[in-house]
Amino acid sequence: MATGLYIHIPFCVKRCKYCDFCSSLKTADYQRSYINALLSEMAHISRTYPEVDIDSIYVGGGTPSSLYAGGISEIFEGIRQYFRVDSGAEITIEANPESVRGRLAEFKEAGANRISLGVQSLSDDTLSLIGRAHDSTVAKDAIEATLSTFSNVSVDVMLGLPMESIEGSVSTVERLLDYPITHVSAYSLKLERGTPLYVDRANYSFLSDDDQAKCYEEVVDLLRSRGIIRYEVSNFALEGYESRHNLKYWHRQDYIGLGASAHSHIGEIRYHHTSDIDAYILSPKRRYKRALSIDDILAEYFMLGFRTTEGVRLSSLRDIGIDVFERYRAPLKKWNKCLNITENSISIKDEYLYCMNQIAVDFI
Amino acid sequence: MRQDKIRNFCIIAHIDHGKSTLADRIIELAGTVAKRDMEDRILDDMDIERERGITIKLRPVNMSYVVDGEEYTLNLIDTPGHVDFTYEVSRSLAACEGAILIVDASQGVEAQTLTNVYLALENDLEIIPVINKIDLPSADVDSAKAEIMDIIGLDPDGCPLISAKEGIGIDEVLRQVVKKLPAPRGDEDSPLKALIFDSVYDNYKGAISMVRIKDGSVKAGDRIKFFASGKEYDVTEVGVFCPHQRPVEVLRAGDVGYIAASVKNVKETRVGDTITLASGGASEPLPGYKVAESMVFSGIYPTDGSRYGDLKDALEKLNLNDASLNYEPEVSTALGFGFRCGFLGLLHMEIIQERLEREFDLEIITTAPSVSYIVHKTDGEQLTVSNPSLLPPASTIEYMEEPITTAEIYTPPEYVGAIMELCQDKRGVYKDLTYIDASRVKIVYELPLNEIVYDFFDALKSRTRGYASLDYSIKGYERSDLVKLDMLLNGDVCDALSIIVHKDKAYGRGRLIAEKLKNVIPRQMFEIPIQAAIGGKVIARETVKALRKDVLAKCYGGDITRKKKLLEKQKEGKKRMRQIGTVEVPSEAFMSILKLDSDD
Repeated sequence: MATGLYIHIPFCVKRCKYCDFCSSLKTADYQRSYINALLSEMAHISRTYPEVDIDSIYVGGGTPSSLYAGGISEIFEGIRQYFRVDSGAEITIEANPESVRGRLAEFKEAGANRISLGVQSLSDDTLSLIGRAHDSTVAKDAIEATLSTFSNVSVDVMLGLPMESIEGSVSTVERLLDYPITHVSAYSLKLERGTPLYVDRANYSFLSDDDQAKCYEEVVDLLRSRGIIRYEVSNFALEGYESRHNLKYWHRQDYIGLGASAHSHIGEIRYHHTSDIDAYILSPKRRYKRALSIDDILAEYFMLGFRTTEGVRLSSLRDIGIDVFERYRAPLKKWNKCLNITENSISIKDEYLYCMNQIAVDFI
Repeated sequence: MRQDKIRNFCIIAHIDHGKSTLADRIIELAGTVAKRDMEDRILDDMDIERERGITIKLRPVNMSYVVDGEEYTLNLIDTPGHVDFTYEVSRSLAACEGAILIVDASQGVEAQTLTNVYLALENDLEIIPVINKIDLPSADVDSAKAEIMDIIGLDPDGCPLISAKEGIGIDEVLRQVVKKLPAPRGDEDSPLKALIFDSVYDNYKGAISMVRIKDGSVKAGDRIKFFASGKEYDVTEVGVFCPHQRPVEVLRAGDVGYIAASVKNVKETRVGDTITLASGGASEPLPGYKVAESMVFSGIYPTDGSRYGDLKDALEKLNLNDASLNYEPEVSTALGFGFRCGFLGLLHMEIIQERLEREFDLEIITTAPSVSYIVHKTDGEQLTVSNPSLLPPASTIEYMEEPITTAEIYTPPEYVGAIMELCQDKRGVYKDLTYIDASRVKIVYELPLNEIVYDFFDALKSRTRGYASLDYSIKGYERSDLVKLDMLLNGDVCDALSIIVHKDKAYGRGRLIAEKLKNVIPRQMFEIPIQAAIGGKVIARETVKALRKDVLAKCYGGDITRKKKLLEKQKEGKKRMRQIGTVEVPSEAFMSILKLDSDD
C-alpha cells in the first residue's frame, strides 16, 4: 500500500513572530535525543504496518535544515532501515534560507529530490518585522544555491504580511519568478492567538480580507502567466511538479506522521502525537487515536477535496458506497453555479475557490 | 352562615409598588406555607416573572386567618400589574368581592393602577387602599393620601400604612380585608355554577380548571358539564391552592379552588366558561369575560423549519393558560410554515417569545409587529388585515383605517420637550398636559398604535433615561394614508419583511431598513442588492458586497482536526440563518428592522 511519510523536526534557529507551530530552539544534544526517539518510533511503526510502501517522504518543521550536521542523514538511514521506499518516491525536505547552504550536500546524499524553501518575503523590512532569521540577500543566495544542487525547488511565500501592501506581496512573487523554481506555496498570514505578532497586532497594519483576496488573485494570475498553475487553494506548480505528498492530505490518502505533534491518517483512523517535545522523547510510541465515522469521512472528503482544483474524487466516495448525487442533492443544487460537476469529480470553480468555506459547510 | 367566614380578594398595584412582596407577607402570616419553604415572590413561579419582577399569570392561594377570635378563610388571587394584562386582571376580579389597592408612598397613584381600579369598580368590588413603602426616606404619606382622595376618589382615612418589605402593618391589612370586604353571597342550594378563571395542564390529572364557585357545590364523583362545549366529565378531585394543589372533600358557593376531571383536551377548560352539574344543573351560564382583543400581531416561525410541530404544540400549551394569546397558521414564502400570533401588547409579545424559547427550547424567528388595519376596497368590500403581506393591491384599495390610541405619558418635567418632539415625530396629536405635582407631568397624546409598536418604547426610554412611563388605550380607528413597504432581497420580495407604514414615513423607513439589513446580512458568495419599494417603485437601495475570502489556512503537516472544528463552527452559525431565495438571512434580521430610532 502506497503511503506517505511525514517527519516533524520541531527545531528552529529562531522563532518567527507569527508561528504557533511546534518548534523550539534547542542544543545539538537535545536534538540528538529527539532523533533517537524518532528512530525508535520508526522501528515501532514499521512493525505495526509491515505492509506499507513509502512513495512520498516529507521532512517538515520547524526547520529541518537547522538540525545538527548529520542529523538528516541519521533520519534517512533509519527510514531506509525500517521502511520500503519506492525508487521513484518524492522526497521533500523543508529548509530555511539561513541554514540551507551547508546542508545541501547532506540532503542530496540522504536521497532528497525536492527542497521546499521558506522564503516568505523578499522585503527586508517585512522579514525583520516578522522575526525571520534571514534577509532578502540571504534568501536569494539560498535559492540560487539550492537550485544548483536540486532541480525541483518549491518556495513558500506569505501574502498579506504586516505593513505590506498588495504590491509588496505581489512583488515578492514576481522576483521569485526570476528563478527556475517548480512550485510555489502562497499562504495568507493568519494571526494565531498567543503569537507575538498577535499580541502586537494593534501596532501594525494588515490587509483587509478584501485586499488579501485581491492580492491572492493577482498572485494567481501572475503565476499562471509563467505556467505555474494553481492546483490547490495555496499551492501552485509547473505541470507535473504538484506535490505528491501534499495531495495525499487533500485526497485523504494514507500517511504516517512521525515526531512531536505529527499527524497520521491510516485506514480511516487518525492519530496524532503530543506537541510537547519532552513528552514525545520520553514515549515516542504513544499516539492519540480517533477512528472516523462515516460522517467524519464524508465531511473530510469535501472540506479537503474542495481545496484542490481537481476537486473531490467521486471514485473514493463510490468505493464506500456513497451515491453523491443522491446524498448531496440539495447542496449540489444550491451551489450548482459555483461547481464543476462531472462523472468523476466535483470541484469548485476557480473564481469561487477563495470562498470555498461557504460551499463546503453545506457538505459537512 | 359558612360564607360569612370567606373573603375572596386580589391586590391591585402598579409594577414595582410591592404587590408580590405584600402577597408574600400575607401568605407568611396567614398561609399554609412554612417559613422555611418561602422563597421570594412565591406566587411568581415563571422564571420570566421572577427575573423581570412582574406578574403575568394570575394564581390563587387559600389561607386562614383569625380576627377577633373568629377564623376566616382568605382566598388571595394574584393579578398581573402591567397594562398589557388587563384582561387577566378582569378575570381575577370576577372571582373576588374585594381588592387591596397598593399605593407607593413615594410615587403615589400611577396610570396603570387607575385602569385596574376602574375595572375593579366596574365589577362592584370593594377597594381597600393601602399605602406601602412607608419605610423609605422619600415616603410622603400625606401626598399619597391626597392622591387616593383626589385621583381615585376613595376615602384614605384609616387606610393601613405599611411596609411590605419590612413586614410592617400586614396584620392591619388582613384585619381590614375581613372587616371591610363583603363575604360571598352565593346560594349553596342552587345548582352548581363555577366560573373558570384559569386553567393549567397536569400530566396526571389532565386539564385542571381554576374556579370560583358562585352557587351550589361540587365534589369528587360528581358528573359535571361545561357550558361552552356541552361535554360531560366525572370529577376526579376538587381542591384548593395552598398555594400548591391540596385536595378537599367539597367546594361550595364562595370557595375558590380547582376541579380535575381527567379532561384530555385543554380547550375544554375554556377560561370564562361555566361548569355546572350534568343533571339538575343550572340553565344559564355566568356572564363570561370580554374576549381579549389582540392589538399587536406578528409572525412566529421556527428557525429550524422541521420544528413547526413543536412550535404548534408550544403555542397550544401557552394558549391554555394564556387565553389572550391568539394564533393561526400562516405560510410565508420566505419563512415557510409558521403562525400569525395576536398579542395584547408589546410586552405580552416579548413574554410569549421568551417563554417559547425558554420553556419549550425553541429557536424562533419573529417578524416585525404589526397592528390590524381596516381596509376599504374599491368594490365596497371591507376587511381587516394584520399581516402586511396579505394587504390587497394598492389599486383595489379605496382607503384604510388604522387604530389610534390615547397615550398617557408620565414624566419628570425636564423631559417634556423631548417627549413632545418624539410624539410629534410619531404622528401624535397633542391633547393635554397636566402637572400632577412639582415633579410629575402627565402628557396626553393621540398616537397611532402602529407608531407605538415600532420603536416608541425604546425611543421614549432613551430620551428620558428611563424616567417616563407610557400607558395607552385604544381610542378607535381613523382613516389614514397608509402604504405597504416591501423589502426586496436580490430582486425578490421577502414577504416576512413587509410592513405597513404611513406614506410620509415610508421613504425614511425604507432607507433605514435597507441600511439595517445591509448591516445584519453577512456578505455571501454573490452581491446582494437590498431594495425598499412601494408598489413597484424602488425608494431605497443598499448592496451587500460579495464575499471575497472565506477559506481555511494551511493544513500543517496533515493536521485537519482544527480546520474541521472551524468549519463545523461556521456550519453551526449558518443554522441560525434562513435561506430566502438565494440569500441567507440571519433570524435576528426580521426583528432588527424594528430598532430604527434614527438617533442611533
